[in-house]
Amino acid sequence: MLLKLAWRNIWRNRRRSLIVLTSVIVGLVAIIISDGLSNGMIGQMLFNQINLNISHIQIHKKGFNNNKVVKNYIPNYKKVDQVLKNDPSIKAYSRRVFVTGILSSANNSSGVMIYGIDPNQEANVSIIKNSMIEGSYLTNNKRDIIIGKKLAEKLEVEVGDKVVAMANTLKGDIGSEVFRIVGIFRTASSEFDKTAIYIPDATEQSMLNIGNKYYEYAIITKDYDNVGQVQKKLETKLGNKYEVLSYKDLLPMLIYQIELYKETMWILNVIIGLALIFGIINSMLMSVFERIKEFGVLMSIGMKNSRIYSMIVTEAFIIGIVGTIAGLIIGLLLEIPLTHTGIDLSFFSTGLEAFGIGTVIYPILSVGNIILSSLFMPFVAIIGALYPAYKAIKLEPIYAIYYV
Amino acid sequence: MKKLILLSVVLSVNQLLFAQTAEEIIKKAEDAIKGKTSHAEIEMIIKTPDYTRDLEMESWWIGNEKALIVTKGPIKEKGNKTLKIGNEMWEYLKNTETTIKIPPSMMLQSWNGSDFTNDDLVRESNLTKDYDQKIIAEEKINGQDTWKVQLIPKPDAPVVWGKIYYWVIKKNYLPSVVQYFDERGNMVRYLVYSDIKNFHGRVIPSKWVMHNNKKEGHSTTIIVNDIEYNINIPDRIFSFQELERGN
Amino acid sequence: MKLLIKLAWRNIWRNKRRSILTLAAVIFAVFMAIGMRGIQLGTYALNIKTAVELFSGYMQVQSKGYNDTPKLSLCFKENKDLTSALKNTKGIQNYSSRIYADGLISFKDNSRGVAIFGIEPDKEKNVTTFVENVDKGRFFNSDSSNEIVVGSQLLENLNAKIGDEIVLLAQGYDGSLGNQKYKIVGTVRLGVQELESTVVFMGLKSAQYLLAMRNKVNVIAVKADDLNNLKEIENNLAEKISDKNLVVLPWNKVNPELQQAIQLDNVSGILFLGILIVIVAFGILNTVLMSVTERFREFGVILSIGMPQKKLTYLVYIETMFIAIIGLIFGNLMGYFVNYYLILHPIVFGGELKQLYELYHFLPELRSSLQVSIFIYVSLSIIGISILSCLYPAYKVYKLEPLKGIRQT
Repeated sequence: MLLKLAWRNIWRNRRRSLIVLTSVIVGLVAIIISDGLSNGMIGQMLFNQINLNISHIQIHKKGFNNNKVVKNYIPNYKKVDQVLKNDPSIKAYSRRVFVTGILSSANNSSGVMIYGIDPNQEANVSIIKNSMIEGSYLTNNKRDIIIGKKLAEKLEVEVGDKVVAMANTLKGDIGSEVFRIVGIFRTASSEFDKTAIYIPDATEQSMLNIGNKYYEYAIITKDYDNVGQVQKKLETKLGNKYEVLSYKDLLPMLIYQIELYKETMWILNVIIGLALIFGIINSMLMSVFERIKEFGVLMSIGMKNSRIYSMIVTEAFIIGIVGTIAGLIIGLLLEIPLTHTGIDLSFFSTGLEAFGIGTVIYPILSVGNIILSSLFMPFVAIIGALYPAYKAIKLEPIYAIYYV
Repeated sequence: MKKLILLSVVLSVNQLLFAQTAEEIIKKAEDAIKGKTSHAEIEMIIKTPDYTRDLEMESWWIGNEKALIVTKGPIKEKGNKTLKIGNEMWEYLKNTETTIKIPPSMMLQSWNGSDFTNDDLVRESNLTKDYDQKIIAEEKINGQDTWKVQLIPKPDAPVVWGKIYYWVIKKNYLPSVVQYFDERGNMVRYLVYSDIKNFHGRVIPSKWVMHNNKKEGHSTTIIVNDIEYNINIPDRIFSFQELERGN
Repeated sequence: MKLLIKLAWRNIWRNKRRSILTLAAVIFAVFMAIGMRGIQLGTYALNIKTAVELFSGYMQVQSKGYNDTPKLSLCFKENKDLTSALKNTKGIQNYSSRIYADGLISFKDNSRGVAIFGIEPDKEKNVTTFVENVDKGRFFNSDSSNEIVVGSQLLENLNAKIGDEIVLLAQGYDGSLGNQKYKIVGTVRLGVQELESTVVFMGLKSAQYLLAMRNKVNVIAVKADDLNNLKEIENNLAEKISDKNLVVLPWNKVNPELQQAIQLDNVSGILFLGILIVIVAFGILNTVLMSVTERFREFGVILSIGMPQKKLTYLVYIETMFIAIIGLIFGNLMGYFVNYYLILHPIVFGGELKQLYELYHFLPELRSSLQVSIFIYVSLSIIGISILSCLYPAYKVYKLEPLKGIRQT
C-alpha cells in the first residue's frame, strides 16, 4: 500500500522527481567516469613499463639485478623452463640473453643494453613488436637487429645500415658481431629508445661465447592482481640460487609515484563525492520542502505522521534506486567504449602532442568501487529527505497547508 | 668459336692472376709497415682546434699478435704503457700505478686522444680475414704509380666500414693512401703515408697522418724516428710484470 | 529596469528557503572547484619544485649543442661576464657549476664504467638537494679534495667499503687518459637503480685536474625564486650573457620526460575538474529549475495582473544572477580561506609513503595554491553555468500562460 502510494506520488510530481533523479544519475555517472579515469592513469603509468620490458615478474641468478655482468647467467635455465611451462597462473614468458655493451656505426658509438631474444616469445610479453615505426620486427635471421629511434639518430643510421655490437665475453676478452638494422622502434620512453637493442638470442650467445646460456626470464601472469602470490610460489620452487623479482621490486620509484598518485586521487574523489552528495541532498531538500502543502492535506485528512514519514522516505529510496540503475547504465554505456579506444590526452594539450606516445589513457573499471557507490547512493537520497520530512510532520496540518 | 674459348680462358686466367695479386699487394703493404717483429721510436702529434699534443713513444710489436707501447713524454704521461695481446688490451698508468683492462666501452674511444681508436690498434690488419679485396684501378699519386684496391667487408665481419680504398705504390709495395667510407659512401677518415726513409736497410714511409673527416680540424700524425725490423724481442716483455716495472 | 531589480531583490528574500538552497548550491560549487584546483596546481608546483631542486636545477647554462650530445669538449669558462650575469639577474637565487664525464673506476680486480660528476658541494647544496641524500658515510665538503661519493649500488658491486682507495680513469679534455687515486667517503641513494650503480661525485676542481679541463665546466645549474616566471628570468639571463655559444635551458628542456609526466598529470587533473564542474553545474541547474517552477503559481498571478512576459523572464534572470553573485562572493571567500589554510598546513601523507621518504628524501604532501587564475576561472565558469542553467527555466516562464500557472501545484 505504502509502496503504491509512493510510486504514484513520484509520477504525480514528475518534474520534481525528475530533478532529484537527475542529480542521482549525474552523481553515479561521475563516480564511474572519475573512477575509471584514475585507474586508467595508474594503469598507464604501470603498464607502459610492464608491457615494454619489465613484465610482471623477472627471474635471474641471484644478485644479477644489482650487478649485471656477463658471469651472472642463470645456473640452470632448463629447470626454470620446466617450472614455468607447467604453471597455470603464467600467461607467457620470454627468455633473454642480456649484457651491456657498445653499439657502433661508422659515425658514432653508444652504450647499449643488448637483449638477445626469441622474437616470438618476446612478442608475448612486451609490446616491442607493435612499436616498430620503420622497417620490421626481428625474424630469426642471425644478423637482424632492431634499435630505438633515438639511438638510430645518435648513430646516424637507418633501416638497412650496418652496425657492430661489442661486449665483454665470459673469458674476459671482447666479443663483437656485425648486424644489419631490420627495424626501428619508438616507445613511450625515450631513455629506452636510446639504449635498448634486440638481437636473436643465439647470435648474442655466440658473440659472448657462452654457449647455451640465458640471463633473464620476463614473465606475464594471467592475473595482474596476484603477482605477489605467483612470485612467492616461484621463489619456493626455484630455490635460493635464483632471484624472483616482481615489477614492484624492479620499479620502486614508479611504485612510489603510484602510491602518491593514489593518495592524491583519494582526496580528489572525496571532493567529487562531497559535491555529488551535496547535490543530491540539496535537490531532495528542495523537492520535499515544496511538497509540505501536500503533506499538510494528507495530515488533515487523517494520515498518521509516521506513515507520511515512511512514505516520503520510501519515495526517496525509490528515486535513489531508479537513479542508481539509470546512472549505472548510462555511466557504463559511456565508459565501456572508452576503455577500448582510450582517451587521448594529447588532444587536450599542445604540450603533450610533442611526445606522441604514452599519452593515451584507457579507463579501467573497478567493480568494487562501483558496487559500493551503487549501494550507497539510494541512502544519500534518503538522507536528503529526512530533514524536510521531519519538518513537515512537525507542523500542524493547517500551517503545513499554508506553507510557502 | 675456338678463339672465343681461348679468349675467355686467357681472360679468366688473367682475372685469377689479378685477384690473387690484390690480396698479395695488400699483404705486402701491411707487412712492409709491420714486419715479423719491430721495435720503433715514434712521435705522435695530435691536432685539434682546441689543443695540440706531442707524445713520444717507444713500441715493440710481434706481428699482429702482441704489442707494447711505452709513452716517454711529455712528463705528465711519461711511464704510461699500452699492452696488447690478441684482441685484448691493457693500459698501465704510471700516476696511479694501476693496470686496467680496456672494456668495450673504451675500445671505441680514441687511443690516447688520437684519431686512432683503441679498436684500431687491437683489430689492426685483419684485413685479409675481414675483407674481400679487388684491384679496381691504377692511378698516379704524387708522381708514383699505384694500385687502387677496394676492400669490401665480408658479411660476417664485425667492422663498421662500408668500404675501404687502399692505394699501394707499385714500385716498392708501400702503402700510400687509405680511405675509410661508411656504407653510404661518405668518407669518414683517411690515412696518408709519406716521407719515405731508409731505416737500417728497410724502406718505409716515416710520416703517417690520419685525417678525421667527421671532426673538423682533427688529425693525428705519427712520425717514425727510428725503427728496426725482425729483431729478436723476448716474449716476457709482453707481460703484466713488465708493465708494472719501473722501466 | 530599476523596478525589476528592486523586485528581484525582494523576491529573493521573500523566498528565503529556496534562495538559500540555491545559494548553497552556488557557494558549494565555487568553493569545491577552488579547493580542487588549488590542490592540483599547488601539488603540481610542489612536484616540479621537488624534482627540479633534486638534481637538474630550475635551469641550466650549457654550451650550445651539449643538451643533445653531451661531450666533455663542449665546455666553457666561468668567466667574469658569466658570473656577473648570474649575480645580476633578478630572480636567480644561487648557482653552481658541474662537470660531467664518462670514466672507469677500478678497485682491486674490479672495474666498472661510471658517470663522473664534478661538483662544488658548498655551492651545490644551495641549488639542489641530492647532496643531502647521503646513505652511508658523508659527502665531501671541499671541491678540491681527493674524496669521492659513489652510488650505493656501485660500492656493493665493487666489493668496496667506505674508506677504500680507488682509481678513477677518464679521457681528458686534451685526450690524455687522466688517472688519479681517490678515497670513497660516502654513498648516495638516488632512487634509480641505473644511477646508483654508475654514479661518482667528486669535487669540481679535482675533476678539472683529472680531466685536464683547466677551469672549464660543462653545466651551471641555477636555482630561481619562482617557477611561475621562469621564462622571464631565463630571458633576462640569456640577454646578459654575451658569449653566444652559451644557451640557457629551462628544466623542461633539460629533462623532457619529467615535463611529460607533469603535463599528463595536469591534463588529467583538468578532466577531473571537468567532472566536478559537471556535477555542480547540475546542482545549480536543478535548484534554479526547481525554484523557478515551484513559483509558477506566483508567476501566473503576476502575469494575469498585467506584467509582460519579457519582463517576468528578466526578473527571473536577475534573481538568479543576484544569487549567483552572492554565492560567488561567499564561495570565493571560503575557497580562499581553505586554500590558505592548506598552504599553511599541507596534507602530509603517512604510512607506506613515509618509508620512501626516509630512503629518498621526497616529501609526499598535498599543497594548495592561491593563484589568482584559479579564482578567476572558477568564478567565470560558475557565472556561465548559472546563466545557462537559467535558460530552460526562463524559457518555461516565457511560455507560461497565466491561468495554467495559477493552476500549478
